[in-house]
Amino acid sequence: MIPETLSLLLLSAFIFIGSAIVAYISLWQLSVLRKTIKEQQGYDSKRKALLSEQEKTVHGTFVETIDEAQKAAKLLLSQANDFEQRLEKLETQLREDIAQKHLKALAKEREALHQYYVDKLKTISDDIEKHTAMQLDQTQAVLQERIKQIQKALDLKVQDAFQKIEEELAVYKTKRLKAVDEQIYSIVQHVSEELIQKTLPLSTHEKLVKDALEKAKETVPQ
Amino acid sequence: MKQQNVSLPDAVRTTEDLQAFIADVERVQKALFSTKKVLEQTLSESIERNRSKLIQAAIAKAITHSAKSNALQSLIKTLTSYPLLHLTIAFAQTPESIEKLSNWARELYGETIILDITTDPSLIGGAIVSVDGIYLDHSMRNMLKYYFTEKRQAIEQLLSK
Repeated sequence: MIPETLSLLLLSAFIFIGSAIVAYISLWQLSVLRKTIKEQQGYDSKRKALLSEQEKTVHGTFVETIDEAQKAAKLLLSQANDFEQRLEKLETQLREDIAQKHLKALAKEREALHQYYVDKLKTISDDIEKHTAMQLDQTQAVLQERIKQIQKALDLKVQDAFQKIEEELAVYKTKRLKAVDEQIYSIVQHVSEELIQKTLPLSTHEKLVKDALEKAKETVPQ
Repeated sequence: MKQQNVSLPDAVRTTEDLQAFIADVERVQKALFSTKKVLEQTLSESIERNRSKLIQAAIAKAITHSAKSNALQSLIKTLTSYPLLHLTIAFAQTPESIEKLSNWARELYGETIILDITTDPSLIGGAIVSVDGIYLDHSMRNMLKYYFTEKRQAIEQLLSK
């Protein structure tokens, strides 16, 4: 009984001591951590101060640079304006020069052309007169020739037409006469058929056939 | 009354007679190969008397059927060998006029001539004869036509007045 209690006591004492050690170590670590945090905070504040100083320096430099750039730009702009004005002046002058030159050339051309037409007009009426007279002569000759040809062709056509009409008349006359002839023949035949054929006595008919047979016999070679 | 014997040409005057005769001969030819009674009946009842006599005369000397048939064939051959005379006339034919015309034709062309008669009133009168390769239009119609052709000029002159 005693050893068991003792051992329990010892174990408890041992656990207590162990816990105390662990607690100590934890506290130590905590203090170390606090110290580290404090150092870190000090470092941060220093860094911030440094950064703020650098920022100020950079800002100043930047502002200076921008001012300089603005100045340079203003200068460039003023120079460009000058250049543009000079160019416009130059262009206007150039245009005026060219226009003057062309106007002069045009005036010269116009003068020459005017002179040419004046000269031409002086001679043209004579030419027209000559040309018209010549044309008239030629046309008259051509027309006379053409009239002769037409007259000749007309004469031939009239002659042809007359000949054709005469031929047609002859043909018509022949046809008509033939038709009349045939009509007469047809009438006579019809009358003969109606009268002679029917009124002729049988003996006469027979006699006529006998005659025909005899005539045929005379024709038949012996 | 004594019956007058008719000759073969007398029995066949026209092409109609010829056709009828040949038809009779053929009928007898058929009857030959039938009974005797049929043959006798055919000869006495179906065929005209003169033709029947002529057919009987043709087969009288033949004894066998075959010989009789040959005799009939020979008869047909004789009939078809008769010359033809084509005659176109203007009037209607009568048996009397046919006989007259046939007699005249036979006087002129021989006893065996057979007439092939046609009637055409447009001939007016006269006839058209065709025989032995001869064609003769001796009709009044043709005469009229000839007259009109001949006298054409005179008619034209008459019309143009």
